[in-house]
Amino acid sequence: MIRTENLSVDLGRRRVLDAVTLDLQRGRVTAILGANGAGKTSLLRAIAGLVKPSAGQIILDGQSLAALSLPERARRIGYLPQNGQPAWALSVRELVALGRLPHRSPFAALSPGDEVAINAAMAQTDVAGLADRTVDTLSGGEKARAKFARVLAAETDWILADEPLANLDPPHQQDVLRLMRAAADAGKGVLVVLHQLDAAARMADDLLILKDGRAIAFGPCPEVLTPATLEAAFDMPLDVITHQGRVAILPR
Amino acid sequence: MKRPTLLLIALIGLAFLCSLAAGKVWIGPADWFADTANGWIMAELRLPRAILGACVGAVLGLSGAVLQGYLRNSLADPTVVGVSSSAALGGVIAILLGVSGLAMFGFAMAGAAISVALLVALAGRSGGPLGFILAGMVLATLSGSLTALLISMAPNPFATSEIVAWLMGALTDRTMDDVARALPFMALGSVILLLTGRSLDALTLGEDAARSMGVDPDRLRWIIALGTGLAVGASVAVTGVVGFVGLIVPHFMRRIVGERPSATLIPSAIGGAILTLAADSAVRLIPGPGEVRLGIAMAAIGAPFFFLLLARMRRDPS
Repeated sequence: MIRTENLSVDLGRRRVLDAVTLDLQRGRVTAILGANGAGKTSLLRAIAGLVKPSAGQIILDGQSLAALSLPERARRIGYLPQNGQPAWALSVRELVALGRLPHRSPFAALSPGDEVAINAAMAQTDVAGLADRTVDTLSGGEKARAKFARVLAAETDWILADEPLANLDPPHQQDVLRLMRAAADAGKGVLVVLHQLDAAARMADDLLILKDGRAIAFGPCPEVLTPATLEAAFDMPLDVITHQGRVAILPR
Repeated sequence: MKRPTLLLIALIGLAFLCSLAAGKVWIGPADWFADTANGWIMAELRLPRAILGACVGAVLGLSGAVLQGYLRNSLADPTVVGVSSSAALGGVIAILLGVSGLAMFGFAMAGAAISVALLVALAGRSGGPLGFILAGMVLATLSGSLTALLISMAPNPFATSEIVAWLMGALTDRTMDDVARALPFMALGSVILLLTGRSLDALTLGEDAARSMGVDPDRLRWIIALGTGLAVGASVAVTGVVGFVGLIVPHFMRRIVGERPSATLIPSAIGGAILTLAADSAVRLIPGPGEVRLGIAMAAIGAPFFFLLLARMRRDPS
């Protein structure tokens, strides 16, 4: 379980996250929604240990996150940054193998356990057939799956993903959503920043709505997804329409 | 071992033997251990020269590969982070003070050490690779201008020409004493640089991803500065500035062994040694009085290569 207690983050003099208190459970997908600049990425980066909280703390399974070493944290929390293009043309297998770094001692070759995790991650994301292709030759959808495989290969309890659907067409968005759903169903905690409200409504168990650095709503999807909350978050009237058990969110 | 590695090892052996045999006097293997003038040339001149050439080339290739990996930019090399020019400035001060040998080596290493300290201080606690390269460029410019100032203030034309010749980089007339001085620093620096492989791989996905995989970027920055300072500082201290090796070699090696940074480190070290030995053998064979300076020869090879590289990048943006 991840618990944030009065978590605040300052960037320069600006408070981008203001006293956010949350309990996140494993086995669930939590989508973070909010307008640009609402503090979504900052919350994710704070939990990933990439920015220091200016106040409050983050507790991972009863331990303060600040007390964990970087490798220990890396073995428990996986992080998928926004739009990260690999700087070098690694093969897909090499990219996925990077996920094992926190588990390996310096200079040690990949262990059989590492190989199992890498192969499993590639199978789950359906990139096994691309193993020897270099990432610069992949399509956007293939690249997204390969990057997700890297996080899966780390076998962390938690996966944090920052806008993993950006620049993907609808079918490939669906692929990534399915992968996140499957990871949560397999017992991982998934925390994902999304701009696609419909997708969040379909796939997430819980929604967290941020506005100006504050959590204005947090809870199971149907409870949070009300026109009043959405209007407060985005400063525009939005309708929540249910059609044959599915939810669509449309501007009024 | 994989085939490219075996090929590289065979090539370095060949280049080393070639460097021993080639010169104004061609010395065949039969004379290498003979008690003759040729045997003396071999033991006193050619052998230290070949050993230094291999070591200098190796640390330049290795540090080039590490810096390109760290900066995630294939145009980086040891000269852009200011260590080479700071060590060279130390050497120039030594020449002006009239000291040589161990004292001169000490001056150059002091220059490298000061540049590493400034590099880490200027790049700040969280400057990232951009802060690192900007600090490096400031240092390179500063020590370059100080060097130019000292040259202009040189007391006599002889000192000026000595400085200029030294700055151009050469392996001529080096002794086993030079080898003994430089080797420990180069070895230590190389070991430190080789430790960075995993972290460089993680950095392929960007700084945030690397940190989330357990890499401490602040620690990595000073490890790289320290390793480069020791290895490249020592190489400049014994040969002057030899450019382009650290730039060109990692490019070749990425084509052969793939682009994963940790996989390019050892091949780049071997490739750097091969290139330097080959170039240093070639400068001896060019007819005419004296020798073409190694630094000049390397620039003459490197600049057109660099141009080709840019042309290829423009044609094929990926």
